[in-house]
Amino acid sequence: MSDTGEAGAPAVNQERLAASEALRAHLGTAVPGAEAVVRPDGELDVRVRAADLEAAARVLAGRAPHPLNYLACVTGLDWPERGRLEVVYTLYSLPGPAKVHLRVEVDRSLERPSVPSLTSVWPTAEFQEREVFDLLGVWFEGHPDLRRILLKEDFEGHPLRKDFVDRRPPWRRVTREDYQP
Amino acid sequence: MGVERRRGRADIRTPRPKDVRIVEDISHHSVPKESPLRRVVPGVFMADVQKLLNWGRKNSLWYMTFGIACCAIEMMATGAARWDLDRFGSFFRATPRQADFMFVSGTINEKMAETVKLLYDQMAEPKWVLAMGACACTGGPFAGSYNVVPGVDKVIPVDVYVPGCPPRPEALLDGLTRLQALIAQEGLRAVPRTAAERAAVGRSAGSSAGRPVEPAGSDASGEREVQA
Ligand code: SF4
Repeated sequence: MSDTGEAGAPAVNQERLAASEALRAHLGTAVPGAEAVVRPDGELDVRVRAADLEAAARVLAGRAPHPLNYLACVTGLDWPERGRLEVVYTLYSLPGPAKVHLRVEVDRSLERPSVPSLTSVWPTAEFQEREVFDLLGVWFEGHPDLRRILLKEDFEGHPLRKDFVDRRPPWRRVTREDYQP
Repeated sequence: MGVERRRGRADIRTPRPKDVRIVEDISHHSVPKESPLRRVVPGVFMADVQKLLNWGRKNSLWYMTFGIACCAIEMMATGAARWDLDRFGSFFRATPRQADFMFVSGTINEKMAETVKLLYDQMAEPKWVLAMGACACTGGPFAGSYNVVPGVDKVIPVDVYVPGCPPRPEALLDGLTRLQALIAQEGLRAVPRTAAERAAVGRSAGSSAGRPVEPAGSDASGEREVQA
């Protein structure tokens, strides 16, 4: 994870640190399967199993008085050496100082590696999960419209997987004579 | 004094010519020198239709309002007041139906390639394409990517390539003048569709006008050379 403890690192946001500590304690009881770690920079890392993902998300999103109501980013990662695909939801609280990374992993060797969709918790997740699906091939169960978003519908494979091979035929230059409208 | 000054040129009487005179300086003229068609009165110009047509075409290249990536910003700058593409007779047209010419200004990914092709097909003949920037020429910094087409000439035929990332407006203007030079050499059938057609047009126009329609070098390599 990040190591912001070095010299020259920005000062740790103490409010955020306190919020993370409180959130960690809360998650420990609310979602027993979640592993929460407060990072040195004050942000909270939450690792959950796919089965606990939605429960953890609801706890975070409904946490008073500072709900994590802003899903800033959904990131996908490929870890071929560990055989895992990881999805990271980066969450902010607009009224409060908290910042949380909600992580879930799934076996990459499955034909359809899937995790639950969080669209019902944060509607913003819809397009971002489509992007992770498109580029990394993680299926989001319960997603209302799981289609490719960036690539063509008929694209084969998921290009940000480390073992992706581009199988397109070689390109040919088109001239006016052989151009087919 | 003011009144005197305002007397225009129309008031200056010029003697009518006694006879028509021979205009000698029309080069590449398809009309034989001794023909009466070459006898003109002052104020009347003559040229072969092909030359007039090419002159009109090359000086009214209306291009499509179509920017793709970062290069488009430079294209817009070229079209705006500072570099002023208008002085070459080129204007943005907002529809392919009215455009003669397309700047392909940016990275072509596979999804955009379909759109580029569609727009090109919607343009009326004769039409020309200028590939602007490294991306449109070869894929540029993104060549080899899983979703990028390495050069727009893999999708539609390209007449002029302007390298750069992005090319400066001066380079783009140079590309445009090169395209004009190319058009100046084209025949009445500006775009022969097939090799046989091209050969036929080259023969007929070549015999009458004394020069080939297609510039030399439009051979197997496919490059269309510009002879300014
Ligand atoms: S050539 Fe450079 S400036 Fe032009 S579209 Fe490509 S990356 Fe952008």
